Amino acid sequence: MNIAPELIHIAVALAAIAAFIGLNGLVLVWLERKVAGHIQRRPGPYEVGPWGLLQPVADAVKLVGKQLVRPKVADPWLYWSAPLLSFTPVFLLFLTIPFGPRLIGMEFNLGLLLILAFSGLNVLALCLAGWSSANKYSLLGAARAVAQSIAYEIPLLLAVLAIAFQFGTLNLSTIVHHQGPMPWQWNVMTQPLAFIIYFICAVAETNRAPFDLPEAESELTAGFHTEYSGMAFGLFFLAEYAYIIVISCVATVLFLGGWHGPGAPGFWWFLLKVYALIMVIIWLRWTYPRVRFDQLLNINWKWLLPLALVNLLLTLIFVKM
Amino acid sequence: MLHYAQEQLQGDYYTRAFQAGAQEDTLILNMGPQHPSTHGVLRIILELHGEYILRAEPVLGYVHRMQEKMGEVKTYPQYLPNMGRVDYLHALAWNWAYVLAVEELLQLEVPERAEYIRVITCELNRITSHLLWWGAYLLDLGAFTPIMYGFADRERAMDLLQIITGSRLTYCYYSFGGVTADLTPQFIDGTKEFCKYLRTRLPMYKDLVTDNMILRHRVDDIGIIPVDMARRYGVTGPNLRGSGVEHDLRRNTPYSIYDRFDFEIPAYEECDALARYLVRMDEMEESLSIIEQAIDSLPEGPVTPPKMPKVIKPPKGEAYGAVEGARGVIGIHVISDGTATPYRIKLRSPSFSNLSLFAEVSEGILLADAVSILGSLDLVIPEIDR
Amino acid sequence: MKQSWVDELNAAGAPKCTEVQKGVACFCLEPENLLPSVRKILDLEYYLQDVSAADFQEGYLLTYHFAHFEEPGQAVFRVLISHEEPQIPSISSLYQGAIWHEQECNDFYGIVFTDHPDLKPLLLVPEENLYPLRKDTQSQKSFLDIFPGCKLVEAPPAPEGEESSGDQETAGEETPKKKGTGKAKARKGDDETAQEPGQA
Repeated sequence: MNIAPELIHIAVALAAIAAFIGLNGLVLVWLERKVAGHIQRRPGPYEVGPWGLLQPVADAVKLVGKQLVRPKVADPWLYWSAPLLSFTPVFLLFLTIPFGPRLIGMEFNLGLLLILAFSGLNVLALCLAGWSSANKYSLLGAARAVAQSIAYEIPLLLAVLAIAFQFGTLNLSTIVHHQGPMPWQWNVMTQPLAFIIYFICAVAETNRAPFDLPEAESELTAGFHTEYSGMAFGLFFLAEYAYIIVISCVATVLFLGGWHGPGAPGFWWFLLKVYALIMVIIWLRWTYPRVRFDQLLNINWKWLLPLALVNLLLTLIFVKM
Repeated sequence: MLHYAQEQLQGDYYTRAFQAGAQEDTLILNMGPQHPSTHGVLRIILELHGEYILRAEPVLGYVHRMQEKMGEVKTYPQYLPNMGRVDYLHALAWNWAYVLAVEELLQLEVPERAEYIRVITCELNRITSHLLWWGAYLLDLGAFTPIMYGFADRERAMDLLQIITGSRLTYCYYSFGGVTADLTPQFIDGTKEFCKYLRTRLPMYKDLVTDNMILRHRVDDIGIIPVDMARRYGVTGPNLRGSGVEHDLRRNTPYSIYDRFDFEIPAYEECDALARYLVRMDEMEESLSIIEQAIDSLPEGPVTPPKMPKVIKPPKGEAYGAVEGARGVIGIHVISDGTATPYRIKLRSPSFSNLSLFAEVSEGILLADAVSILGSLDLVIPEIDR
Repeated sequence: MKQSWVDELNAAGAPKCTEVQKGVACFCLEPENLLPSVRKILDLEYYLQDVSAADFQEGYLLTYHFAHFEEPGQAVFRVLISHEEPQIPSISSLYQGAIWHEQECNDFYGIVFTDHPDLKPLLLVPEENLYPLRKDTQSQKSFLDIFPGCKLVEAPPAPEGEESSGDQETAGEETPKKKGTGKAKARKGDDETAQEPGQA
């Protein structure tokens, strides 16, 4: 019976996370459109609700209402499991993120590892989606997704590992506790290179422009999700936003002091930093052209990976001294 | 296990002609006719090895309207509106090529003011065409914002052209011997203002887009078209000038009054997509300068010839009207048999020749580069298919 | 087009071009002279503008337009082939850009280009042979009527309606009647550049 409170805690946390993801998904859809609109000298959505606030709701209704179409030659099991597989692991990722001093789904010593492990599942979903669609564009998109995710996971891990080495822990709360309220007490000051590498890799991992090659619409129409319609596409879409939130949350925890901040610490600081990062990611998307695939891999293997290794080595030397 | 129906494996006529049956190791990919980066209904059959293109073959004809047959059944003036619909981006150049050919047949003299008006409007139209190309090309390369900027600026020029031509895209403004309507003060003031405005925008585009490192890596050294290849395929226009040849009909065989204006022919030696990109960006500035010069020296006078025949019946013979369009040399070859309808009209569209080299230039390149090359050729599909 | 070039081309192909107007030189060729002439014009660094056909009483008139990157003006090759045997050698081995133009002529007229790499329909539906630009006999006009400068070598007295024997040997000289007289009025300034060489 003594295990029950823990379980209830996790159940409540998962429910809260589901609500958080859903709400943030809607906010992000709106934000992305609005920011894109203003970057492009147009108002963005403004008809549905005040400032177009209800636009994502209308979008969601549209997506839910659409017919789910499966190509005749597609493998039904793999085809339908791919969007689910893409979306469901997202819940687990938020479980160990400390949103506030006490606001955490599950205090877990291997929290960072859990996030890294489960975020790797996404590429499996993309691969399945591309493979099972029986569409050549999807297949090419899936091949790109796999190559890209595997490549960029390595420097990402190495960058994160540098932080883990610095504090000797994989517990996210502990890492936040080691940082102070003021910006110069945050890890981004001691590990700027790791932050940059992490951020680039994170954008690439979430398949966002300028690294949106698996779904590069001018080359592969829509890449791995070419054949998906309605809510099946919606789940991919939601998962993409969820992953953006996750990587921003992890970046905030590891590098930007988590819920610390000048004045009163709390989840508002956390959210503020997360949204600042998300804004940067949106901004990148609407500014840059897409890189080419060989260039993408070259950036990784020729620059990010060696730099991440050097960074890790330097961290080790400093920690051991 | 995936199950394909037999007919799905076989494909249509063109796929079968491209390659019969399945092959080990390579993938036949149909790019188009509905594809985001083919700008319309161009279809390209590709044989891919991984993402590398082994073979490519454009398949045309999805918006074929048999414009040349239409030319043979309509009278000369009735065929004028067709010209706006061949190349909807630089419609006035096609207008011009046609009226040039017919004027040559009729031996019509164009009033001076009309010539100036033609230059002004055609150059303005060239700018709108290049602006749209710029946005669409960047869209091909994955940048979403430039097309909005390009469209917003293009909108201003189209508003101006709408004042005098009455339409926004498929213009039918030039008539035999002149233009259909005179310029209004509103147009002249607006154009002056537009020139000033666009001159402030173009440097911003350069900072924001042209100097972007990612863009440079996507266009630099991509799609090399040597001069020799350009000659064999009949490439003209900015694509040719990107190969270092300063060939521009406005300079080489100055039609109309282009010899009166002081303007540069931008040309870059690199032969790659970047060179073609830079040529078009420079050309917009040159067009602005031509417009400004033409507006400053705009003479007074009529815009149509004093006496026009009631029925256009050119004498027997032929004429070749060639003008420099936004995509290259537009040529209209009219053979007249002395009746009110042309005996034969041949439309020489620059995109047709420009695209024909794609098969050669795309061998062994990446799929993403193929998109970049297609964009850099600045294709207008209705013009190719006619 | 420079006069020296015209002479070179005349040496390459049997029929002569005597006049150059406004830089436009017109050569009436026989089918067997086409390839040598095209090879010559490729050596002269001309580029291919277009290949087009037209249906006349005497046969199909193929028109090849070439232009130069530096020199003003055009070189025009005309070849007349018979209705019964619409065949002509393809120039696509020299000018690859002609591949599509020739396919298009095949689409519209059913002209067969021998040695063409891939003479399949380009613009029209592949399943039917429509040949939309072929004219019926009533609406066909005489080629000589429209281009009086070119004349048939054989069967001189009755060119009209005679399309049986002598069309293959069509040869002529001179340019079409009025290239650019109208142009000359409107754009006086350019003429010197355009026609300096060829006014002999």
